[in-house]
Amino acid sequence: MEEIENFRSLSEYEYGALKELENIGIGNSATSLYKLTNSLVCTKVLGAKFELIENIPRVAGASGSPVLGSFMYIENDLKGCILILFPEKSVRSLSLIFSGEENGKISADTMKKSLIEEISHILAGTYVTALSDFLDLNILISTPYMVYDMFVSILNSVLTEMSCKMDFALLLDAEFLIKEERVYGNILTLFDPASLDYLLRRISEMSHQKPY
Amino acid sequence: MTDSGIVVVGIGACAVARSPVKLKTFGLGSCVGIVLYDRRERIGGLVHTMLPTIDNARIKDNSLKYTDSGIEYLVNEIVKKGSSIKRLEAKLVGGAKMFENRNMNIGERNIKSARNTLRRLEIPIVAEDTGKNYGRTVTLDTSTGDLLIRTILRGDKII
Repeated sequence: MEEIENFRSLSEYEYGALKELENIGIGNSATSLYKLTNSLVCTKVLGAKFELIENIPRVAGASGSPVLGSFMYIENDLKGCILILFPEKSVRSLSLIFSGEENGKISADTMKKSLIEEISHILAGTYVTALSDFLDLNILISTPYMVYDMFVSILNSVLTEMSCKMDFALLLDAEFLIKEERVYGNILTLFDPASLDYLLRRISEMSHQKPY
Repeated sequence: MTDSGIVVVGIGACAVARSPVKLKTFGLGSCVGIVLYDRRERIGGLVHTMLPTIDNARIKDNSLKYTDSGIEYLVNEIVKKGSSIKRLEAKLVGGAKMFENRNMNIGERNIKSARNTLRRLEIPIVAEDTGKNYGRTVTLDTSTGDLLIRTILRGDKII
């Protein structure tokens, strides 16, 4: 059981700090979504959890409902991935905002998929850039991979891929909502244990820095 | 558990039940669901595994996370409940490649591992719905041995 050292329980302070990081990420994503749609975007941080990979679908409350999900790798100083999910209704609303059309099936509509892929990439890009500015790290994201399927299938597949390399992962879970346009989305960020250590170290360095 | 008659099996978990209880697992992507069923005793088992083999595992605590060890564990459990390995028949579901442009074939390797393990244990595979690029939710009805597969875009089917 030499690997059990990989597991750690997070202190209240560490949870708070991680949630705050997430708040910074999603806050910036919301700003770019606001600029894109010109409507008020509400955000909510649902939580930060460090868990065994097989427990994550339960923690994230993954359901069988269909979503359009884009998945991107986070690379360089931090390693992990970011998953942006839009339910079918939100895809229609977004497509109405940007292209003025909303009919047709999502599965067959490459235009709609491409649109959501682009929005997701912008949101994830802003999220990651906000973190890298704040923490003074070099973080990049890959091009998005997109799929329309059950939320839980998408999450399981991503987790399976991650579980080849690690047994635990840090999950940051947040959502955003545009009330008047009825757009709802979910951003899940997963980091490997090494990135969690890196993040916490960086946070503690920052909190001990003298104010200017 | 959502309903007294349905047991929900999570990822890296398994369950064994007697008729008329149903066993259900959500969202098999590249993961694989292996169903074992004993027609005479009407006992069924379902395991939802993630990775092909326990040999490469760093932590070997949860044998249900791996296809090869997961099947062996499930066989033991179902035999303990009063079945015999000679009467078991297997059905395989899952092992999809969700992100088509990604070059990972865990799904395929999972299916291969499941087939090899079942062959080694001499359990016949009576039906399967594997591969392709979509997620599946499966429900095993232990009173008949029927396996209901639900998908988002490709409808439902029973194998």
